[in-house]
Amino acid sequence: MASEARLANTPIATLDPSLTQDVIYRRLIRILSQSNIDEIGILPFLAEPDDKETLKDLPLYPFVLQEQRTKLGIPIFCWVPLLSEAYAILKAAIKVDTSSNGQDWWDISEKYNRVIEATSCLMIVCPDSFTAVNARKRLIEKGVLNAETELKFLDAILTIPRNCKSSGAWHHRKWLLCYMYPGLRETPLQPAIVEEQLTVCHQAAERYPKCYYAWTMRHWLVEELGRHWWIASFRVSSSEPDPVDLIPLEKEYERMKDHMGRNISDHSTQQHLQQCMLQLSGRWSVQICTDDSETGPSPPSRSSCKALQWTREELSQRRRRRHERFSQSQDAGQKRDANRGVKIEATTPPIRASYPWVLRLWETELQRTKDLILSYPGHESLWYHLRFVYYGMQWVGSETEMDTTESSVDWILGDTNSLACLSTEIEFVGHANQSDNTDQNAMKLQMLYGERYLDFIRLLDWSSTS
Amino acid sequence: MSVMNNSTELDEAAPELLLDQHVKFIQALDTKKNDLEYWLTEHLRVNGLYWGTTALHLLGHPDALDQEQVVEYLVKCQHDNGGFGGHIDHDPHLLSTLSAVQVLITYDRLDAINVDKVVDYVVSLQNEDGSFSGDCWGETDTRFIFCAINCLSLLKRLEDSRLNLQNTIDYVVRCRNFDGGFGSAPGGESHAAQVYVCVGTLTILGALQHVDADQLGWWLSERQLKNGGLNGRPEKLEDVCYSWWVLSSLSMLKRSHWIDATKLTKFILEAQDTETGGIADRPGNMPDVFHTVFGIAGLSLMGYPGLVAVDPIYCMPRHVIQRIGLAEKH
Repeated sequence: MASEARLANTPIATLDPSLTQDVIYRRLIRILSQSNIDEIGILPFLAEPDDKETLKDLPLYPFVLQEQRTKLGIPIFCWVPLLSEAYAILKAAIKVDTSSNGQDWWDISEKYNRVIEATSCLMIVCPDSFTAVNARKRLIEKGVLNAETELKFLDAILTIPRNCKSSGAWHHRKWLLCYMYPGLRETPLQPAIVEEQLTVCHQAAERYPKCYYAWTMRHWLVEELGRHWWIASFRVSSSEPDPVDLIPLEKEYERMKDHMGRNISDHSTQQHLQQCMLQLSGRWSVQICTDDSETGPSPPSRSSCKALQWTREELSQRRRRRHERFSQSQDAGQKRDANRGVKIEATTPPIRASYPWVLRLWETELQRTKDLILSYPGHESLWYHLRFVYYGMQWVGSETEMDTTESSVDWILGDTNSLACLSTEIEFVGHANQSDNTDQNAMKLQMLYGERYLDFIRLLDWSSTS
Repeated sequence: MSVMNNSTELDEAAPELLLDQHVKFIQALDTKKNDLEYWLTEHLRVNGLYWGTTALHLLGHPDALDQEQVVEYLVKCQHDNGGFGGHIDHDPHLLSTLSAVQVLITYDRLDAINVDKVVDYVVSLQNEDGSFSGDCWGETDTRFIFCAINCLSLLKRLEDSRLNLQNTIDYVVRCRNFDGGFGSAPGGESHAAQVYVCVGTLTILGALQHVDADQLGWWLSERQLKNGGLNGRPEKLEDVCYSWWVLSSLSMLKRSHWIDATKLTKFILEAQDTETGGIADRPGNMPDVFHTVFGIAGLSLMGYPGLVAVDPIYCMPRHVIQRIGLAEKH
């Protein structure tokens, strides 16, 4: 990193005096306007000038274009001159001066064309520059720039790994989507569009792991998919929802499971997987605030619910309610214990978004996480994920408002405590410590994280039972 | 009462604080116009001034920059709508607006700007759900909520009738996760810096009862690694700036003793650049003003001798927060 900074700070004029700030800038702008760039890379060297490499008689040098002029290489030495020149041109163009005649810059073509050029350059070299990105939003609103083309341009910008962590670039994407598809408040974004955007996010995650803003954007997309599941979780008893709307979220969850297996220490991946699980759980993972939460044609909107509010006190209240209800049904002579847990395997797969389906989702994830911990000892992120799944099991398992018309009510009323409770987890931690793994350090960490995991559960159980 | 710290346990093997070199490092920041970093951070110039002036004040050299020049510059960054841009001719944003207000209050020079207009700008950015957008283009993040609430608190304008603070509290609570931490939006991954802004917001608004202090305090203390440094999320590298985000949050939760201060102090001191001054994200890397201020603020919060005491909520000199009468409120 230090060496990259040293290279970037080398004045390009000391390498080639012909490359003035103005020359570099104009050549880049020409390239951007006359080619179809879909990938941009930073070059740590200055290539030899090649007179044959021209674009409409203008030399490409010091830039490099490859693969039918779709891949652009920018020498690291160009960053400072490009920033300096682009900012100067942008500021001059948006400044109110005598040539404005009371008009705004976005209404004067000569000015906004310069703004488009300068901001194209700034978007590549510094997408966090609010002023540059804002000017482009303004031009989209004015119809000067096209939102769809802008989205493609953003895809190209993201191919520079360090741009993946730019909050400005991610917000610009979200803003463009909201602009292109107005009415998101009422209608969720179409699953096909979401899937396309998820692909972009996934590529960013591969290029620049654990990038907070990329994952934040991805949560938002998954929430859009979750809106279908939310509705479906209210309607399972009346009609089966259209799987076309539901499957994309399941696919994202599967993709995350696969990604997690290959990125064991990436907590952001696991946290996104958790968001997928919460969305897949529909109404079963949120606390509903409104009174009209009955199954019906119009379920409450997610924003009217206290989503994902899992305080220890609330969990404790749920468990108590659940316990009371369970004992009542036993008093009534409904001895269902014998069948408990059996039907999960025995019946045909439960309907998506139904309570049994959700319960099975959490059980499967609990087992999968434990398997990963045994295979890859000493990873804090995996143990954190296990905390989440354990917590979620307790929450989902203490549900009392499940649809009672559900035929498999027998095991629903069973106690999920038997699947995950302090004693099962003590047993698991003991097992996890007895691996034949020879990596001493990993096993030391495994023991530490296992202990902390049990402390976490004790804190939870202590406050839930006290 | 003295404004200086005078007690902390020091590790004998820890390097010394290079106080004079850090002052020179900050004074020289504006002369590095050939550096990429200088250009990449142009939109954060005002934030940089806040980091620089705060570090200098904590180092006990409040006059190391020309105050008149700083104030004059900031005035040029204010827009007609009241907001401040990150630099002259840059669009206004909450991030730079808070920084400008912090610097002006530290220098006791609010008289230089139109405060009513600043309040109008900040208030105008509150959304229906209680959150705040960073600017008129609508990006929301718990960081921006803290910027807004912090700024209005410093200006003593939280009572503005146009605000709905209950909605803001509710929104921040929706950003709380099962592990006790907070993210940038509802459902966002718990992150130590987002924890700081959310706990800070709730502290200022007197709503700390929404935080599970034991659970969150524990999560925060798990951020300390073997080498003493702190990370911001599980299995990420340690970084000096988290010395501030984690430690100040623990301090607001009254649980600073849950981490090993001696080891953290040593880690921060080892990240100093002995040649140029300044502090880097971790030992051996290039120093910058951002990590310099949060390293020094962390040291100050741990009571490092010879440093001016820092306020754990506002990240400004404690005596400044006392002067404007906010120290007693929290």
